Amino acid sequence: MEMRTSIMNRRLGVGINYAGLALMLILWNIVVNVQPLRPYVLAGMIAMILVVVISFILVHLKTGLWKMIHMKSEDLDERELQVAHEALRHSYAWFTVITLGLVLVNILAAEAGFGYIDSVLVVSLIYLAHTLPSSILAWTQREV
Amino acid sequence: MKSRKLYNRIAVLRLERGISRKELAEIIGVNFQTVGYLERSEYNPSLDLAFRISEYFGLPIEAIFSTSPMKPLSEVVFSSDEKEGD
Repeated sequence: MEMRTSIMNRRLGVGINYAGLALMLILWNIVVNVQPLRPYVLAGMIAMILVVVISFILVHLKTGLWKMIHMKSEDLDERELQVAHEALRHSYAWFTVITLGLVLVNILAAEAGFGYIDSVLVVSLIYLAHTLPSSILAWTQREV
Repeated sequence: MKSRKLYNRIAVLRLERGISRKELAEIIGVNFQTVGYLERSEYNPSLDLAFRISEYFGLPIEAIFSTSPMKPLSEVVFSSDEKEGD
């Protein structure tokens, strides 16, 4: 069932979702680079995965925004088509900037012997690419 | 190009006919949230949608939509009655 949420709650959810993702990546880097493995770091990473999953369900699935972005265009009305198009346009630009920023950070970190582009980062970027349009809708739409 | 804000009387006309946003949305073929956006003048409809709305209410488009803030219907009716009385 779709849930009606206030814009402030949705914005908070988007913030928590991406903050969880960023923290998960940082903890993953610690897990990979710092030996021996500290159990609390691993526990923190698992907790962040749960935060990302739960906030994803609340912000994207329960609100119906995920469905709206992934719906066939003939099933959307003219306003929905317009906002979906705008969200996709903005997310394309944001994704490019974020990805280039992350690649730059990783190159600099690799110079210092810390951090590299691995499968977890790639999966996170794919997740980001897939969720950015509905995150933009969650952030901007007054009524969903 | 930034389009001009369109004012409208959809909310008043809908309430006058005693139908919900959901019912109006089904009639004009949009999502019910779009009716809310239209009523608050936060979304300008296409010409096709504007025609569908005017056909449902049985009124000319210019009676429903305007580029300037619209007077309350009671004021419009009252002032036209006064003119007829003169």
